[in-house]
Amino acid sequence: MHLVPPLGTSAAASAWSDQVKATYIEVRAPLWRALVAWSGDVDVADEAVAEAFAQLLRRGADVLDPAAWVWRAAFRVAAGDLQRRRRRSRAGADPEVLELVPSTADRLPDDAMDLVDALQALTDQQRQCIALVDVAGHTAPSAAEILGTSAATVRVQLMRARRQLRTLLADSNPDPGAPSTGSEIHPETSP
Amino acid sequence: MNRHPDRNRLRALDGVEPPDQWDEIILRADADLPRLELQPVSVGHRLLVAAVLLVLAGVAGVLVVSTATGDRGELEAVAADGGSTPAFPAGGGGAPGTAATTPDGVPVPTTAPGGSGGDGGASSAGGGTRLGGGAGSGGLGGGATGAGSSNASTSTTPTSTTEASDITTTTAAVSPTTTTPESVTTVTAPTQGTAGGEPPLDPRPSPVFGKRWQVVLMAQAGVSRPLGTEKVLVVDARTDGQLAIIVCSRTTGTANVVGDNLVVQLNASTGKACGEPLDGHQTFLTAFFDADPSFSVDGNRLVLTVGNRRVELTAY
Repeated sequence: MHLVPPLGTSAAASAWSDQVKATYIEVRAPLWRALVAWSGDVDVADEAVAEAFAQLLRRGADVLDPAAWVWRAAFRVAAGDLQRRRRRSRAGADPEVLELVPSTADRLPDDAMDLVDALQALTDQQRQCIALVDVAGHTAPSAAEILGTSAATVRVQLMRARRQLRTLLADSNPDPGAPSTGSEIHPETSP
Repeated sequence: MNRHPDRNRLRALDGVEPPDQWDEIILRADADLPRLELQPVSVGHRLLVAAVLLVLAGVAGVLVVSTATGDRGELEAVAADGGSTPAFPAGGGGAPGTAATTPDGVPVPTTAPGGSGGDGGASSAGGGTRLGGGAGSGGLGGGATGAGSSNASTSTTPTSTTEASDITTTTAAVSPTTTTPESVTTVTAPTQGTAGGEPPLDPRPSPVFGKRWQVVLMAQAGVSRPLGTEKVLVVDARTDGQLAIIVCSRTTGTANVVGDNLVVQLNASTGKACGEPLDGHQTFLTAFFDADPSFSVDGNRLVLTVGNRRVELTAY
């Protein structure tokens, strides 16, 4: 078992592994939350985070900005995974197998589930923008970099998405006066 | 009126902690799975050296055969054939430098140097891009030769870009030079630049890719084209084999390094109209890249030329 070149020496491999680990600690929470928000599926998020970091580890030090790379990679992995799952779903998955997999609703609190459900009403691009900016705390240019689009596009999509979400989330909250659990948590700093 | 939803509602996921998957990540990374994108340069260089050695061994093998048989006329006929008729003496082994096929004709690209061994050899004077990359030294029976075999190692590294559907098989009856006739199947990639003496696709990761480039100069006949905008004109080549020209619209396509040229096939555009000068720049760059510019990379600077047109870019 070994890491592929260009790691070369074990010392270099170890240093790279430490760097990736540090990136993982810094990035995994906002990345995972953004992926959950976008995909609506915690399994997709788990898989994408793990696969993106595994690829980052194996890629070696030729990646100049590990954090930026892993954000892009994770979203690409998640997109592929979502496509496969949708194809399987259309083909008709075995319901008994599905029952064994803990669903997203089992792993998320109600308010988070409300958000995830509301996000599903948005377009894919709107959801990506909300996930990256409002959920993960990226700036519009930073989100644009990850999505391979312009900051202006991100801002436009954000504006439309927020307008829709305002209605959607108001509809999903039967008791607007109730305190939200999210309000007690400090937002992540921008990655 | 506030059009934003309650920000606390958007932060609802902040209370959810993701699982710690570090151990799983280590396991996945250590698993010897194929990498999805670029191979490191060092591997490419090693493969290139192996390919050159293969060519030399092949030439030596053919010379040995020609000397042994004294049949120089036939050898010249093979060499003049442009590589379409591989000729190997039968020798109990397969054809090094080629990919084998299963009995039902499914191509099975070989991955280990040496092909199927034995003392058979392959000859291809015209230069096709070979998949399989066998490195058999030829031995008594002959060897691999020809310009095309310089790319013999293209598929020895597992990548996701080569699929069975992209592979064509060519079966050629072999004229014997020493023993009995034999049918040998070679596998060739149907990509551009493989026939008629054109330079083959460069298997090495090109410095053009893996970066995003910003256009700093567009010139025609020595006259630079004024940018006239603060917008950054971008050529996105971060993904190997893909190119996106981002000016106002986003025009995307495939790109391959063939010799000193960038062979570009643009196939999609968002088709957005933004007025001048952006539309003009978009048209200029699209036509420029469509003309398969020659390129040179010097550190973070990429210079592309087509005829009297020139575009300079810097990585950012």
